[in-house]
Order: sequence, then structure tokens, then C-alpha cells
Amino acid sequence: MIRLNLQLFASKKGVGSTKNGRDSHSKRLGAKRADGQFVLGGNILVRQRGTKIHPGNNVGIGSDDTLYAIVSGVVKFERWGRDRKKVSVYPVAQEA
Amino acid sequence: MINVIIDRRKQDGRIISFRVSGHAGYAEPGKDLVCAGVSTVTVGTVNAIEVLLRIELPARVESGLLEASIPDIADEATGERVQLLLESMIVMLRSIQEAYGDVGKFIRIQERANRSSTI
Repeated sequence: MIRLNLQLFASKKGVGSTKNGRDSHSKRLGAKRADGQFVLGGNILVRQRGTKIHPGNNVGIGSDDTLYAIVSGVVKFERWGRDRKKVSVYPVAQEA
Repeated sequence: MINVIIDRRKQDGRIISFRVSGHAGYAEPGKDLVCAGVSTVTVGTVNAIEVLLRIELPARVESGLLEASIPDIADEATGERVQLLLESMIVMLRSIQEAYGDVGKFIRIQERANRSSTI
């Protein structure tokens, strides 16, 4: 015997339209150069919101907190204080 | 929209299976009269065949789906009675269709001639 469910063919209970389902386009944030990598002046090092990573030596910060190299050199990610990080660029000694 | 598909045997028009699927959408759950009617008629018919004629139709029941096939029935008279109950189910479904709203908006009944002969 089949148990009679008078709403067997009713639309699903409480199925309403969801108010979710939206998302912004991802902004591809994060580090754009690796530690120890050689960069040119002006190269972007980090895309970020706020200063997750702070500018160190020879690194500038843009209005949107983007960090970029001011001079050519090698990238160094360093600790800064107890729980902060900074990124610096150290010029490579020119070969004689 | 509830879709009712009745498969009949081509040779003699006997009903060999039926499938009822979909959601009426006549009203919100708990108040959907068309759904309640269709559920009662279809499930009621399958149960009646089992209780009155001791024939258990192989059936699958899920939310928004009831499909059943009619097995080979040795006894001729019983086979006739099963057909009679199924035909009455179709009459009742058509009554619901005519009584509730535009034909084909909440329930659509389709009959197909089928070459396969399960009986």
C-alpha cells in the first residue's frame, strides 16, 4: 500500500527565491612577486586591501595600498615587529 | 504543472503503465487543491487495486512523482477489473483538469499507444 500524501504533487514547501546568489568579480589580490625575485623599479609587488603587508626599504605604497618597487633589486619579505610583515627591495651590487 | 502520461498497448488499448510527475503550482504547499486531488486519485487507485484485487502494481513514489506499470495478470476477469479502475482514474483526473482552471495549466493528460506488450 502507498501512504497517501495529499501534497505529493505540490511544489516543494517553502521553496522561494533566494536572496543570495550574487558575488563581485574577484580582484586577483595578493603577492605578485616572490621572495628573492629580481624586480625593476616600478614593478608591482603586492596587491592588497589595507596594509596586510607594509612597505619596507625602497618600496612605495599606492593610494589603493598597492606596494611597488622604487628601485631595481631583489625582493625580500620580512617580519616587522611581533605580528606584521613588510616587503623591501634591496639593490643588487653592480658587477664591476 | 502535473504531467500525466498513460501508456496503452497498441493492439487493444489496454493500459500498461502510467506516470504522474511534476508539481501543480495551483497554490502554496498545503493549499494546493489540484495536487491534493491528483494525489488522492492516483495513489487511491493503486491502493484500491492492491486491496480489492490483490494485485500489487510495481510503483515508484517520490515527491512529485508516481509511476506504475501493470504486470501480466493471469486471470482475465481480474485483468479487466484492473483496467476498469485505471480507466476510472483517468476519468477522475480529467474531471480535475476541467474543474480547476485553464486546461493544461495545472495538469496535462497525455495518452500514448505503446508497441510493447507487457500483458
